[in-house]
Amino acid sequence: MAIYATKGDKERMADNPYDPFETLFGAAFDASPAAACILEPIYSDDGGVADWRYLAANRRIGDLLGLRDPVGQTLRGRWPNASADWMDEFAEVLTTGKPLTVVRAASESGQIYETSLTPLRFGGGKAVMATIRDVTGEHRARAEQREADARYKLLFDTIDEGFCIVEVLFDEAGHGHDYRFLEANDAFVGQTGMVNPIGKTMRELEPDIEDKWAETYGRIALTGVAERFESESPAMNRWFDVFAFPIGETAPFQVGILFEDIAQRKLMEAALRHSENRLHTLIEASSDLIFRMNPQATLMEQVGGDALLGDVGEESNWIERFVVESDRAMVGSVIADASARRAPFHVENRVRTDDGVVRWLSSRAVPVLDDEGAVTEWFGMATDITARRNAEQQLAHGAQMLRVASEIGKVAMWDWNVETGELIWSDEHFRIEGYEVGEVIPTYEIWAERVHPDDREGCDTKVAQAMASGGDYINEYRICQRGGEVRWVSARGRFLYDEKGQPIRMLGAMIDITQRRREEEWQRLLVAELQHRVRNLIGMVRSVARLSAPSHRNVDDYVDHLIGRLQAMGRTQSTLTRSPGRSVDLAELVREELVVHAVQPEMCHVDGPEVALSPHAAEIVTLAIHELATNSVKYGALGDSGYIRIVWSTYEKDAKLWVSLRWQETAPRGPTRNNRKGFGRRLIEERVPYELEGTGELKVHDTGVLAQLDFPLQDTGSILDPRS
Amino acid sequence: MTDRPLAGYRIIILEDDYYQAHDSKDTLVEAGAQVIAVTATVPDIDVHLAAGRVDAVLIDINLGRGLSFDFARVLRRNAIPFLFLTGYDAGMLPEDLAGSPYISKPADRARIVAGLADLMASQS
Repeated sequence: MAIYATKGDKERMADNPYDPFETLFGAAFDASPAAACILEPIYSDDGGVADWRYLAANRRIGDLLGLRDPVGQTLRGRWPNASADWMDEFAEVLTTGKPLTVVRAASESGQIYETSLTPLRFGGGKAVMATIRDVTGEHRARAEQREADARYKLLFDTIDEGFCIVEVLFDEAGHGHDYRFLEANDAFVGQTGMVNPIGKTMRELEPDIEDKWAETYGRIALTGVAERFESESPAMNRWFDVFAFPIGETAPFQVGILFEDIAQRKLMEAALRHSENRLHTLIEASSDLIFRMNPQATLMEQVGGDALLGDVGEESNWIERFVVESDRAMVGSVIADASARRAPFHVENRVRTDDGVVRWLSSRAVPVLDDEGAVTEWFGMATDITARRNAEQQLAHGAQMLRVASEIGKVAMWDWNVETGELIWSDEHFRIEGYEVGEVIPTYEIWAERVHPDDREGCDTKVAQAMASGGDYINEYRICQRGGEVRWVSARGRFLYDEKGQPIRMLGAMIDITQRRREEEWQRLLVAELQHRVRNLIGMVRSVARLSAPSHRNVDDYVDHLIGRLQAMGRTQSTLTRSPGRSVDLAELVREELVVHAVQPEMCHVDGPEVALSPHAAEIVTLAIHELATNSVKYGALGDSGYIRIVWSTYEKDAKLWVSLRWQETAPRGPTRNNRKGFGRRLIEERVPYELEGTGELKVHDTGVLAQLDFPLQDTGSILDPRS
Repeated sequence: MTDRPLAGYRIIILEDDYYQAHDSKDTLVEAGAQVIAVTATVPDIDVHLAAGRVDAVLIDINLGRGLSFDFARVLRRNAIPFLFLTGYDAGMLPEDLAGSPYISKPADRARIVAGLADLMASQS
C-alpha cells in the first residue's frame, strides 16, 4: 500500500514526526485488515543504513505481533534478536526499489509469517512498508498435503501393479480416441514396457494400440463409473488385469488405471489347461492300466487306460482275483511293506486276466497322504510286460547258451570298436593269447604284438581286406605266448558299418587249432610214411623173391618157401600194427613162431629174461626163427624126435645193452649137411650185422644146428622211426 | 647204352635194408660199376676219398631223414654226384635239396642203372 502525502502533510510530519497523521489515508491504513507498518532508514555516518525507524504501524500489526505504538522506535531496538535477519532484505528493497516477499518463521513464536516489503517514496525520502500475514495455518496444510502426496507417490511406486492417471482425448463424435499419461508409477514401465510416458499419448507410444482401450477409458471419463476387466493387447503382446476409475469432480474425469500384466499367468493357465487335457487324454489312451486303491491297497478300481485285467470298474480284491497263486505271497509282502512305510511300491508279477490269459504286469503305485500323513488312497499304473519278460528270458537264455557254448567250445570272442579303438575280449580270448583274464586292456596293438612275426603282415592285410570289402575275415595264424609257446588259431570275424558305410565295429570268434594242426601234420607224415613203407616192402619182397630163387630147383619148393617167408614178414607186420610204434616181447615172438610151425611144447625149451625188441629187430628175429624152424622141420630135430633149446640173455657192451639169442638143436640122427649160402644163413650171418650192427652165426654140428644172434637193443622209438 | 654202362665207376651204396642193398649192389656190379661200399650207416666220405675216387653215391632216404640229407649236403660240398632212391615222395626233400636227382622205389634195375648213368653223363 502506497501512502501519498501532501506537501502539507510532510511539513506537518516534520513538525511532529511521532504523531500519527490524522488523514484519510492514515485512517485507512490503520483500519486495513492487513497488518502493516512503515519504516524509514537511519543512515550511519558512512552513508550505510544502520537501522530502521518505525514511521507508522496499524492496529492489525499490533494484534499480530504485539507491536503497540512502535512509532519512533527502531527495528533493532524493538527486535534485538530478530532484526539482524531482516537488515539485508530491507536494504535490498531500499536499493532496488522493488518489492520483496519473504516467508519466514518467527524465531520467538515459531509462527510463520509472509512479509511483503514494499518500497515507498515520499517527498525526498524513502521508506519501506512491511505488510505481514500469518501463514502458519496455510503453510502447515501445504506441508501436510506434500507429505501425503509423497506418501502416495511412494505407495504407487512400491506397488507391483502399474498405475497411471490419464486424460482421455475424444474425437469429434465424442468417443475416447486416445489418452495422455499425466502420471505413472515406477512399475508402469515394467508392466507396459513403455518408458517415459508422462505427457505422451498412448498412440504416440504404441501406434497399433487397439481402439478398445481408449473407448473404455473414454466411457469411464464420461460416466464416472469405475470398471474392472481382463483384456489382451496383441499390439503390446500382453494380457492385462485392469481396474480403472474416475478421478476429479466433474466429467470428463481423469481416469486412474491400476493394472497388471498377467500374460505369464494366462500362459500358465493355458499350459495348465493343456496339460490337464493331455493328462486326461493320456490316461484314457494309455496302454497301461491306471488305477486307484483303498488305503490298505487291497481293493483296486480302474480309473483309466487299457483294461489289461478285464472289467475292474468297481473296487475289487485284486490280489485274490487276478494275481496267480504262486506270486500272491510275494505281492502281499511288497504291499504290506509299502503300506507300513507309506511309500511308493513297485512290483512285477503274473496275473490271470478275466479271459484266463496269464500275463506279466509291472505295477507302480504311490500313496496319497492327508495332512496328518495318513494314506487316503493309492494311485498307480500297471504295464503289461509279458513281451519284455519273454524277451528277457530268451535273451538270458541266449546269453547263457552263448556263454556256455563258448566256454565248452573254448571259443574266444572279440568286439572291436573301430572308431574308439576299444577292444573287448572274452575270457577265453585272454587265455588263448596267454594272458590271465583281465591282465591287460586289449587293444589292436596288444593283439598284433602276440601274432607270430611271420604271420603279422598277413593278419594286417586280411583285417584290412575284410574291413574294405565287407566280406568275412577268415584267418589262420600263430600266436606266440609269453613263454614262447606257439598256438595255432583259426579266426573268423565280420565288420559292422554305419549308414555311411564306415566300419564301426568288428565282431569275431577264434578257436585254438594247435592240436588240429599237429594232427594234420602228423597225418601228413603218416601218409608219407605209409607210402614209404609200402614201397619199401614191395622192394623187399622183390629182393626176397630174387634171393629165394637160386636155392630151389622146382617151382613148388620155391613157392612154398617164398610164401612161408612172406607170411613170416606178414606176422611181424601184424604184430607191429597191433601195437604200432611199440616194442615186441621176444618170448612172445618166439612162441608164436613155434606155434606156427606146430612145434610141440615137450620138444622145446624156451627161456630168457624179458626183452623188448624194436620193430626192426623183431622183423629180423621173426624171419630168423622162421628159417630155422622151417629147416629144422625139414632136415633137423623137429623132423624127428629131437629137442630144441631157445634161450637168450642180455649183457652190456660198449655202453649198450645187447641180447644174445641161441637156437640149439639136439637131433637123434645127424642133420643133413647144408652149407650152401641159403636164405636163412644169409639172414643170420649177413643181415643181422648189416642192419642190426650185431653178429650172427649158423653152424651145423653132428648133434644138430646151433645158431647164435647177438645185437644191441635199440630204443624202441616211434612209429615214424625210419626202420620201425 | 652198352651192356656195362657204369663200367669203371666207383660207387657207394647207402641203403639200410640188407636185401635191397644186396640187390642194388648186384645191379650195379652187373652194370660194370665198382661198388666200393655198401653201408646201412652214414659213411665217412673222407675215408673213402682217401682210398680213392668216389664217382657217385646211391642214397636211400632213411635212417632218420636228417642224416641222409646231411650226407647229401656233404657230398655236394665235395662235388660228388648222388642219386636218391627212396620210398618217399619228392616233396619230402628239404628246400636246399629239392631238384636233386631222384628215383622212386620200387625201381627196377634198368632205371637205377640209367639214373646213375645219366648222373655220370651230366658230370663229364
